[in-house]
Amino acid sequence: MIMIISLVFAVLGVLALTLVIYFAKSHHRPAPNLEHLASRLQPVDVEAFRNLIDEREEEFLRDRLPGTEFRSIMRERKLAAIEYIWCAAQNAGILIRLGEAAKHSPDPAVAAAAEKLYDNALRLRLYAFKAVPKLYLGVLVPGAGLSPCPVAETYDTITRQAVTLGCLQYPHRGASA
Amino acid sequence: MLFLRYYFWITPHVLLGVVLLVFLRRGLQKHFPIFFSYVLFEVLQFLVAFAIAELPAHLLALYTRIHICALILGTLLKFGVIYEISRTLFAPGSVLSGTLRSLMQWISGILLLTTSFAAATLTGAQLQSIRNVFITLELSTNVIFGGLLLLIFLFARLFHISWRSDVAGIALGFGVFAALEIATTALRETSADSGNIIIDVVQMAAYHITAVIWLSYLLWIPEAVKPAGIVPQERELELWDQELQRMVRR
Repeated sequence: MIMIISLVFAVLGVLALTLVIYFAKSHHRPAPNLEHLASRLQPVDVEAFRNLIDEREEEFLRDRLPGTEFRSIMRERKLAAIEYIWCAAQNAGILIRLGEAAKHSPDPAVAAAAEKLYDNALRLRLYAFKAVPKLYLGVLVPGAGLSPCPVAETYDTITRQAVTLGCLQYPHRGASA
Repeated sequence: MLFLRYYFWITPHVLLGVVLLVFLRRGLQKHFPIFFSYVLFEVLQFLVAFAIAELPAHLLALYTRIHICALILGTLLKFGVIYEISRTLFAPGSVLSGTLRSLMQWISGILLLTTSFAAATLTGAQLQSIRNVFITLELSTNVIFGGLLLLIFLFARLFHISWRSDVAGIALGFGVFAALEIATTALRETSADSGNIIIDVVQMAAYHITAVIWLSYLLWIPEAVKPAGIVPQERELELWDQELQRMVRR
């Protein structure tokens, strides 16, 4: 037993060392070009996403489909919703970097706008990271009382996040959905 | 082996002395007062330990008491440095600081419970032996310390937070040291005396590496490269921000 615990700690230590070095290496990775970063913003099909998380749609399917089929379809719908949220989180990650780059602009107006954008993009990404585990739980246990308040609220907010991020790629044209 | 032990005992502290000088010269002690105090404490502790190492054997109890006090104070300062790193990366009151703080509390609690249990099993729950107390304390604090550092690294990576070189150096140095301490401390219980000497040397070498990392990041490692290209214009930023604000407010 003592030998096993010692070895577990030894392995944990080596694993921690590897992770620390990996994280530290990313500090020195060459930074991407800003235009290239902006071009990586992905459009989000908001209507499709809205449909996926619509509770009325869920009720409709529940009423009309047999239990097994309903659960199977709900799993697929939630997995698809997770894909959308990851896309939103990735867009937020890009905005964080764009905002950070512009934060150091000599023009105070640009710097202030960038600061706000940076904060809000951080909030969005944090929100996405909080929502995804709940959705995965929903995939494992479809319809097990997860859709009321908090998750439904999350869905709703994420919908608006997706709407926003959908139009980020073409800010001058307004919302694309 | 004796030469190696003396080398690894003295050299890191000389390097830490240089780190102190660089800090004072650049005025960095104002930005990192706890880390500065930690390094100063380590140097002073070394000087005291070096002075009393030649004391007669019957004064060994004095050495042990000083070592215990130093261990406690050093551990408190190390956790203070964690606070300092997180405060530098995630400003208090910022979007992420609250989430990070609550995650840190949870992780500390979980790690404290699991490590205490594992360390008690490891030492056979016989804390009468001062050596076992040291192993339990060192293992528990290093696991929690390493876990919190990894959490900060992970958080910074997930949210694309850029590190200043000095902060990155401090975190990397502590991370390497904590990881190697975790890997070796537990092996003490299963090692013979000769194995313990090797573990001592490995831990001292780890501290040497840590001191080299801190000094390198202060003197030679450049700041992270900033992204190239045209910075987004004010109108573009404002449009993006309006959309984001509409989204995050309910």
